[in-house]
Amino acid sequence: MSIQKKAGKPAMSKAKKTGFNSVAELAKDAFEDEPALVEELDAQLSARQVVRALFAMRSARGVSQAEIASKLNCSQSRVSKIENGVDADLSLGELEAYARALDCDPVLTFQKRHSTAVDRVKHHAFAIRRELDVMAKLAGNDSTLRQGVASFFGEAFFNIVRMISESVKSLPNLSDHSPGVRVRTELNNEEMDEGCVPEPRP
Amino acid sequence: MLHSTWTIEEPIGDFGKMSKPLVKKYRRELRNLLLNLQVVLDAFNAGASSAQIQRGFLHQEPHGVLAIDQRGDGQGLKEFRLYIYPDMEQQKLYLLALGDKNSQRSDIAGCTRWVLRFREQTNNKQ
Repeated sequence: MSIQKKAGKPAMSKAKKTGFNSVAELAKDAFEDEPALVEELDAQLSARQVVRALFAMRSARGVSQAEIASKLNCSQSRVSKIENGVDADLSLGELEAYARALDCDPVLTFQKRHSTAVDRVKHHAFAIRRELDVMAKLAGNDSTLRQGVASFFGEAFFNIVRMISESVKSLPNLSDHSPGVRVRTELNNEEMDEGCVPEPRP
Repeated sequence: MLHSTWTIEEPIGDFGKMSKPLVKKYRRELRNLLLNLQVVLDAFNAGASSAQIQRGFLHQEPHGVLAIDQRGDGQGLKEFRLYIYPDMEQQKLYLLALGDKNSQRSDIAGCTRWVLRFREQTNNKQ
């Protein structure tokens, strides 16, 4: 059985969408009339988020299963079982040991169930804000440190703006030519407003 | 963990149509193929190269094509291969073909033709 379509001519322009960021997105688009399949797949993907992340990090660092096994003090087949299994079968101890073997610290975050992308962006924005405040406080009265931190803030500002502008570019063009993005500032958000980052001294 | 944002592309055609024959009869195989695809996507997002992604379900084919098989939960599964091509520069994962063992040879030949044409076009653009 061949399910392959004519693969002789690359036809990138004919692609229905520009791209999918995940298999869940692809499946939602591909199996619109098969909601049960999409649901099942979503559940299976969710059940493997942590073990997938561990494998991805191990691959990117070029670390073998044997090396992880020796650091975890277990057999290579146990490492294989972890990576092929589901998150529920992974103990917190194993998770920590596996992460440490990759020179990482696991960070556990709790968030509201069914949080939206907006919730998550806000969560990360506040986390960034907290880290920046920590840096500002660390700089204290040391002029060299303050200069370094100020320079980093400038760099971070530029990179965040660039990151957002790249995301804006991926917004579909509106047929009525109305602006796709409106910029507005909100000064009524207490959490974002509290305190000001001290300006660096010249 | 996430270093980049790869996207899955359908240069040949709609994946839904491509995988239609599996939806009813080979649902477990299709599910495993897609779960395995996400594993590969995650590894690319973490910054791994094709050669660094070592899994039993992943096979290196000529010209940088990768074949993902149906291995995973379930017994007595029919053998299928999902052929993909990672464009490391553009961070795009192209879905090229889906077939079984019988069509393996022609699937790989078709993918190879596509990759060679794709590389030619990419080089011409530069």
